[in-house]
Amino acid sequence: MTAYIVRRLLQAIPLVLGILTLVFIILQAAPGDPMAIYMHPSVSPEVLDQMRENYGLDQPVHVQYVRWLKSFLSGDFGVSVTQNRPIASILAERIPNTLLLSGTSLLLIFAIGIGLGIIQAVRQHSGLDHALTLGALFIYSMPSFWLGLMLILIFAYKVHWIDWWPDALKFPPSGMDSVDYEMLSSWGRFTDRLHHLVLPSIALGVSSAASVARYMRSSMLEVIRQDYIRTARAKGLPERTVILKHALKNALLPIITLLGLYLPFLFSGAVLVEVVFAWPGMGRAIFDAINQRDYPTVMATTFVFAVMVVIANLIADILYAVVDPRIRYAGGGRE
Amino acid sequence: MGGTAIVAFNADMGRFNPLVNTDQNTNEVIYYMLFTPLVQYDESFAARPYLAESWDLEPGGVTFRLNRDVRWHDGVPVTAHDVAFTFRRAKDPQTASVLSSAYLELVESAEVIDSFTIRFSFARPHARPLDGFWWAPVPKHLLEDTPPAEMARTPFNRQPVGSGPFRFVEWEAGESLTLDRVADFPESLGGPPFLDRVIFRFVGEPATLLSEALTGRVDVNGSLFPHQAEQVERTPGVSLLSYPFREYYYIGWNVRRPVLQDPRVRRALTMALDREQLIDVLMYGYGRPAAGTIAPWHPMFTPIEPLAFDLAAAGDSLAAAGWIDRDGDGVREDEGGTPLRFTLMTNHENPVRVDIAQVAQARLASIGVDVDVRTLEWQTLLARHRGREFDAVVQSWVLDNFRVDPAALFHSSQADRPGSYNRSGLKDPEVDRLIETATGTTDPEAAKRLWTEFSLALQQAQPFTFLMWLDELASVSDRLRGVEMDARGTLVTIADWWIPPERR
Repeated sequence: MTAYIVRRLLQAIPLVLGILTLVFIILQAAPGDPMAIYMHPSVSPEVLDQMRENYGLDQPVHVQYVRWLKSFLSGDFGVSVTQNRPIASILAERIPNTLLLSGTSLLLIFAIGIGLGIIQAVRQHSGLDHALTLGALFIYSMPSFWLGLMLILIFAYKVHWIDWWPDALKFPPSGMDSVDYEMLSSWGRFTDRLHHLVLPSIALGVSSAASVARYMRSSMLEVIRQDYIRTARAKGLPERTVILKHALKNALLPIITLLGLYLPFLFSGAVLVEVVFAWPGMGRAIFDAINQRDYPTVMATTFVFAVMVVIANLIADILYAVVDPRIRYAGGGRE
Repeated sequence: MGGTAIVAFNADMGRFNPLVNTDQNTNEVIYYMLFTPLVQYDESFAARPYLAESWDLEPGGVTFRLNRDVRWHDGVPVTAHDVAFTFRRAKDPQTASVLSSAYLELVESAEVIDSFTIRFSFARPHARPLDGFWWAPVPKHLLEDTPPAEMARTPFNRQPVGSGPFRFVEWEAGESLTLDRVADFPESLGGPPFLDRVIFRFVGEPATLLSEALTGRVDVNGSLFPHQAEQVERTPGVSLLSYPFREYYYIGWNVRRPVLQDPRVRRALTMALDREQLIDVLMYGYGRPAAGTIAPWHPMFTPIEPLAFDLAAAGDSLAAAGWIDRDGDGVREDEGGTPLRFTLMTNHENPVRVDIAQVAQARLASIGVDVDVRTLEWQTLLARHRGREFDAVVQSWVLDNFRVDPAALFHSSQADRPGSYNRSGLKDPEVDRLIETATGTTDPEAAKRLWTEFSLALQQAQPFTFLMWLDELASVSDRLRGVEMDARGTLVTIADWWIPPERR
């Protein structure tokens, strides 16, 4: 297993470098200029040219590429052209925020998705099943940024004017914490952060939860038709034990692979959700960097996203082996 | 115990360094909170003493006497050496300082007379010479070791030590900026502010920001859009501020294009657009028709008769220029059969601009002009516009100071320079002459008359169709008092904002 993981990671290196080179070329080919946002009749062309020179943007593309690659390989992400500080410090600030948001969403996706899927499978063709199917499809079709705006409209804005609505369910529309966060007790900080997490993590995760529920339902239905489930029922085991103990483990198998599919999706979905909720994460960093043609920051954030996706896929493959004993990965000299 | 006010904008700040900052909101923080410019503007846009407590103005230069009580927030006094250092850094081409091209073109040299007296010599005379000194010094003792080419990237820009009524506390990029009051700020500069603390928050999505403001979680929404104004007016506890601002929308014509080279054609295109209607419908009334580059609130402004909306006159003007629908297809042609057809570009991120382009397309179709509207991504549009690869473009400029100097936009010397701003390519001897004489006239009344003539000449040349001067909008929570805003900016009176004790 260890050898397999090491081999996969080594294979990922050329892949990530290839992605980065491609992104570099695309960025350079796209029209635009990081200094364009400073264009103004009172900023003379000479001043703009000097700015470009100060940032090394006047060099030919291949020179810029080699220079970037050199510093990248030596572990230096460079300095952001728009924020004027080391990109490493931007990443250090932003990555934990995105992981917090997508981690919470992931928990939500699987908890809600699996729970609903089981209920639907057990009560197949009931009114509840149909209602949940309809609801899931409805939610699944919503783009996350639109859902985010609707959540803000209802749970931050509309309920603000309803007197009897509990304060705990009036959510803040944006940001990661309140302005008095520093003054709060540690419990106060925890609830404040949680309060800010609710709307964005729902916006980010709920459509995936709906699709997990669909997968879970069909996977569960397949499993409960198997002979061994009939045997378990025949032994007189209570239905709860049959479903949760015997059926669940096998039904979860295909769901685990979804993890590998959803992680990258979560990161890309985070771009729009973070913009809507002013969540200071990687998504907003990459969004702003692309709009402002902040080339080094785009490269660094792309790198982080690429690595996250590679790792997510690897985790999914490993989990697959863990839950399904029939799967063995080559390597490790066992064959 | 003055309380904390929360101000929100839709974008993060730039560099807290007057030498290298180019961002509008950051500029306001620099000018009204963190630093002390030599002069400040009053409500009538005349320069008044600030860091410079008095001055002697002569034709060849100006001598400033500085206030002796102003200190950097680390305790070091602000002196004429800081001012001279800032001037020299600004003038050094390596710094790539915006001060040099925005303010200091007319200023040749600086000479420190004593620690609190400094004399500047002018390169040539100017009607409003003090307009060249609306900038704040940076601390020499903290920045003299920074090479000029590194000035834009020095850590100081993210942790500034200023000299103004508020001191820097913390900046969490993309999230918030915290500034605290300076308790011993000199009375001669207005004294310490009332508020203990101002927190700026950055929320990119306009609808989210509106929710924050309407539910009282931010006190001032400084990035409010016209379509959101009515909702602010309907909400108890929040009030709407609207005031004339420094931004104008225009359609820029590329006069090098054969179909657009005749000024009669460009004037006809302007006459075919109902600007009042654009303002009413697209800006919800928050704007006023524009007829030139000088803002209606500026001391140098004289109202001129705008080219009136008149489709018949527009058609006549096109016919006079030789554009007649010769083959009956609804589009005018010239004698050689070339149709009057061009592309109008704008960026899709700004729905108002897209709407303007589409309204213009429909209006111009009715007088036999075939307009193809193309919406591009913002950076792509900027690159095309800058490279003169356009026929016509819907764009806007924001004046970043109170100098009147349209040379960059309309002087023929800028028409063919790569990267310059006369992107229309206008070469009009009369416009050139008026720009040159008006900027060099020292008598304000005479200068004002020349600027009126300039505006009329520009109207005849019509390189732009000036559409409207926008009003700036803000929402302000009722607990915050003393909030006044005008074309000087959102934060111009922030040192006088206060919160009643029971609502702190």
